[in-house]
Amino acid sequence: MMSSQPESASNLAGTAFREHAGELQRFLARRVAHAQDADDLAQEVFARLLRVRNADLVRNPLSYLLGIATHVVREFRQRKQHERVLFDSDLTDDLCDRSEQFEAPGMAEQLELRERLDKALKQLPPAHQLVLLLVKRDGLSYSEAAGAAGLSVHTIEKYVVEARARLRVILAETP
Amino acid sequence: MDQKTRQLESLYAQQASSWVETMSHPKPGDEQRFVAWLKESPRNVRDFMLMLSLDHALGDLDAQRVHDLESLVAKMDQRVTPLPARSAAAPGGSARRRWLPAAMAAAVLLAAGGWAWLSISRGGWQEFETATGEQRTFELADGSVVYLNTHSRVAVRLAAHARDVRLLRGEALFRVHHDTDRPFRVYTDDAVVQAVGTQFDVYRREDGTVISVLEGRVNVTPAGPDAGSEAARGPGPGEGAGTTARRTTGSRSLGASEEAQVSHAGSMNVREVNNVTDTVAWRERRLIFREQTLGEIVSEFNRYRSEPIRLQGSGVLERVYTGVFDADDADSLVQVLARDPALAVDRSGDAIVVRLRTP
Repeated sequence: MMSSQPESASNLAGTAFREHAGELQRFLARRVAHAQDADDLAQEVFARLLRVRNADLVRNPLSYLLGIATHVVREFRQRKQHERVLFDSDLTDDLCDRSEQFEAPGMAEQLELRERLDKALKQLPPAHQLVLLLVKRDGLSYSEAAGAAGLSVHTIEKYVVEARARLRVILAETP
Repeated sequence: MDQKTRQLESLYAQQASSWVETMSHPKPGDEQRFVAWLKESPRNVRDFMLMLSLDHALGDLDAQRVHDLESLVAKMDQRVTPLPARSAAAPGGSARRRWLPAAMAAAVLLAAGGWAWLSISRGGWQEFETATGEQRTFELADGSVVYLNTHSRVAVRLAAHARDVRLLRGEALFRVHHDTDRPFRVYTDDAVVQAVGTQFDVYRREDGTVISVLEGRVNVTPAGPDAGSEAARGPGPGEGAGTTARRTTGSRSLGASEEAQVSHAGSMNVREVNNVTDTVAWRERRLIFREQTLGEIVSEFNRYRSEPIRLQGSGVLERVYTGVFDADDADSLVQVLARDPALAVDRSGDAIVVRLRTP
């Protein structure tokens, strides 16, 4: 219980994700913020995951998952670049939309997502807000946050999980 | 978003968020469970990736530090003080509490089985079903796990002294939670398979039922007219009282790596299989064939396809092949067949026709 709480910000999921950030994060950030379907990506990643030997996958599931996803996003982008632009208004609109998606300079999507997250945060119950701020903004470990908030480590973890889930739903609902 | 969609979305989000948490500091065995969960559905893959992205973005939460922790703590304290008036202010409160157990049950089901369709019919039977090409896993209340293959359907009833499952269509792999007081029985029209704690696959084919044991032992009782037993008719959802399982002279015990084929007539053939894990390769959506006829191979493939591959003309069905295929990827099969100079493969869209090339 007390034993192996992760170091504050440097958890495994975060670390694995940072290794694969960039394109993948931009791709996903836009979809989190706009509740757009990431179904095509998921479908493709899913199909490829099924082809990885289970033994390999279990050894390092996050690296595999994110590695495959990064690869697929890159392929999507290449496919888009090779697509001819036809003078079909719908198609042109679609391509314009997509080109923005893939070639937006830098971190526009992430910045927008962060703004939206800040807004969504205010809709959470105070305890959830407090825990998220302690853990994510201030980088406290769970046991430090537990001490600061007067809650148990277990409750901190529970609130982090719940808060993240609620934020996801709020973002999906607010355009 | 309507109320129901909202609830579902919340459950999915909660599940994905839990996995982000678990995989941030995985304990032994977590990776395995995580991989199994991911492999259940593209939706899980999607939700997990989006949740990971959200978590990543949370690292920059409130970068301007406009939120004041003290005032949040103050607000929290207010909430903690008991307010009896609150139930009047929020009449939905008690009602909400009442549906919580139902929501929890739904959450468990979703966690285990994605979109497995569930309905409760007479006599406490629950039915689970998969569409063509779909596979689902679900955990029963006794801790047993049922993996349902494509286009399959089971009805389950857990009673105090027995655990009964009817395989109504298709194929399922059962990992039975050990409970000596409650035998676990799987019924098809052809046979009843009884286990205590083990792992076995049951496949309802057109010509009979095939039972393959991966671990432990099961007892198989044929039900056809030749077997002279009503055993496998068993109890049934919507079929009145039904008869209870009855052991007959036709019963046989099967051990690991044994496979029994029970015909509709009630005859049973048991053989030793060296590669029993091939039988359940379907869980990874792999189809493994060792010197099997094209007729058999294509009928296996077609279980996963809405548009069946068709074999035309004589002589095609009997050709023998060996190979490992991806069940979702008929192209892999088509490529192999196209390399056979004796065959002609025609495709238009999803429709695939294979015939012998005429000289």
